[in-house]
Amino acid sequence: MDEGLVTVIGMSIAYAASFLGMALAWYGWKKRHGEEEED
Amino acid sequence: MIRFTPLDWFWAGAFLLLMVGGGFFFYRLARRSESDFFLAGRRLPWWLPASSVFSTHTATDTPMWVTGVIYAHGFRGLWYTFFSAWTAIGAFVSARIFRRSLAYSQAEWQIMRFGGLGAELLRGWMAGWQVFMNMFILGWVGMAMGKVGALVFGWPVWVGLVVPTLITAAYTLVAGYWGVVMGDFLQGIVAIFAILVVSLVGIAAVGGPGELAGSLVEMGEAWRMDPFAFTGLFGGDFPAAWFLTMLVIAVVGGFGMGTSIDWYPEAQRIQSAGSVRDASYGIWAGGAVTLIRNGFWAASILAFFVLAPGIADAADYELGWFRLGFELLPAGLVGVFFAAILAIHLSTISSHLNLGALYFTRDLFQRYIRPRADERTLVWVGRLATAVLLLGSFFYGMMMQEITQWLIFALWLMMAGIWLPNILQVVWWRFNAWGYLSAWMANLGVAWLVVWVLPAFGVFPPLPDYLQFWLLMGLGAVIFLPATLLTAPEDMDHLIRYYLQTRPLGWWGPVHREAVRRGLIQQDTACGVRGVGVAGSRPLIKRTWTAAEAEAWTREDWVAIILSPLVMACFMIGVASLLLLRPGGILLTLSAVVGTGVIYWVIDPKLRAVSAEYEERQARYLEELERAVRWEREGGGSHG
Repeated sequence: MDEGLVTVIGMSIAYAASFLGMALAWYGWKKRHGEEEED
Repeated sequence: MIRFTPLDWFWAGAFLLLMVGGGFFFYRLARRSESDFFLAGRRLPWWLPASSVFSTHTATDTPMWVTGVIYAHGFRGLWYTFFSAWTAIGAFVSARIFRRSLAYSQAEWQIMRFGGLGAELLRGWMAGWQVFMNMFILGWVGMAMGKVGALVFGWPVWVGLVVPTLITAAYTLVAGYWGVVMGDFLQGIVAIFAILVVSLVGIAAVGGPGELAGSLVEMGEAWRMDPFAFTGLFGGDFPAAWFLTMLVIAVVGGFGMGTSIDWYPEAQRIQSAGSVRDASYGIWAGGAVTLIRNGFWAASILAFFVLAPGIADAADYELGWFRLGFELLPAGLVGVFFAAILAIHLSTISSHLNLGALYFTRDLFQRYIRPRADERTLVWVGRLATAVLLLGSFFYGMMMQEITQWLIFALWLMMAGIWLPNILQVVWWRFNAWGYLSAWMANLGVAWLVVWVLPAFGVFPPLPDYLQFWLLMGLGAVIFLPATLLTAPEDMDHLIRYYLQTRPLGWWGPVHREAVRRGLIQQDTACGVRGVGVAGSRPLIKRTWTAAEAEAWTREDWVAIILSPLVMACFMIGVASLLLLRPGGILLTLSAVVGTGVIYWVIDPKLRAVSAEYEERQARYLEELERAVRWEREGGGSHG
């Protein structure tokens, strides 16, 4: 496979993990602010 | 395949027992708290983080990679390894700022520097990335060990990948960072011993330094002893443009956080240091020893080149340093050499297992899933995360076939588009969370365009690495600068809190002036920044400091910042040249030693004053940090 393509695919996999982490942060933020509004 | 004698097995076993036992010994300390499991309680003297920096960055793949670039490029290949010199400035700038933040990880630092939802998204982003990256690094380092196992014993690659990693995981699971850092110290000693011995034996095998240099001249390869043998400004396989790019990345990168892939493990070592001064010296010494190590390796790899010239396949010549050790050392020492290879492998594996677990436990589990988890639960989650990372690394390791290819990806492209934002987040008050997040996002898109899409469709040919770097940086800036300036600055209360705690270097004028206006700091401190001093006159180098004076950035800091990269370059090139008895080798090495003394003389009084003053406030800051991570305090990133 083309080296450039291998490289950017590898990079994209790492980014997928970042998006998962960010989604969890979004969930935590919403949950926290939902609790605050109920209080 | 190498033949092991009973004496070799004895020494290999004895050293393994010592190194692993050293890790297990600290089990009781690690189980006390999250801080002990991940930061050794924040009370290590500088030489322990320093040995850990060196050990962690001397992995099984490192001699392969260094051998690869030196065999292909001669001494000029040393500049490929100079990326470690970010520690030169980093030790006196970013390490100092980061240590004062008290953040467990780079992800946690995001919510101290930035505020609101943007900061939270960044924390999650960085934590996810680091969990993956640590698993990935574990896989690639494990794969390198698999190759060594195949070379030495003829084992299937998976044996070298899995077995040593399992041994490491055992003490990392029970003893946490205490086991990592104490194991690193022991492993570092074994590794340095082996590197020195094998390098000297390799040079002796070609008849000594004089004979080695003479052979290279006879072969018409004398250019390999010249670290500045450029092939032109832009052309050839080692253009000056690439050298200058590498210098900028390494040296200027020290002003930022995360400008090198190595920053992330070093951040943990910075926080585990007992004081700001210990953190600075730990990072500086670890970086310097790493570069000196490269000098030793480079000389011995030239010896390998003389012994085995003309190897065309990188996969073959990458194993050159291992071959020197296994083929030239006498019975008994071969076992010690193998123990040293295990040492460098164990130290890297343990660090990344613990670091990946830290990001998962502190930045994802505790922050977003169970903010009020007790210390016991957090330690157990840390252990579980360690085990999961271990399994993931086996999967990744088996996927990798070509170490260099993946290393280029990790060290280069991932950093290119966010190199400048990583500096701006430290030195520019106006840079905000949305700007930084947009830089990360843009990096992926522009990397696809520049590295594959446009070359694949013939818009332009594949670009050399250094051009890719500048292009990725420029295109990224086109996106993150407008994103920053079109969104609001961070909340001033948040910025002032961060400024007072960390005292960052750079363009922080509006925040400083507001802090002065509110009476939180005195205007006099600002005078020190310009080196004027309260009384209007000061010695050229000031060696007596009050705590308030030492907070400011002064000419003493700049002396250290300017001298430090020069000293590190002199160490690296000087040691390599000295081993070949090249003219200038002694001079460069002596200059580096004297330069180290000057840096210490200039900066130590100031660092002592900063540390003494800061440690009085640290307990309060730590209490605030723990409340913030449990969402119990305004401004800990939970509210903008």
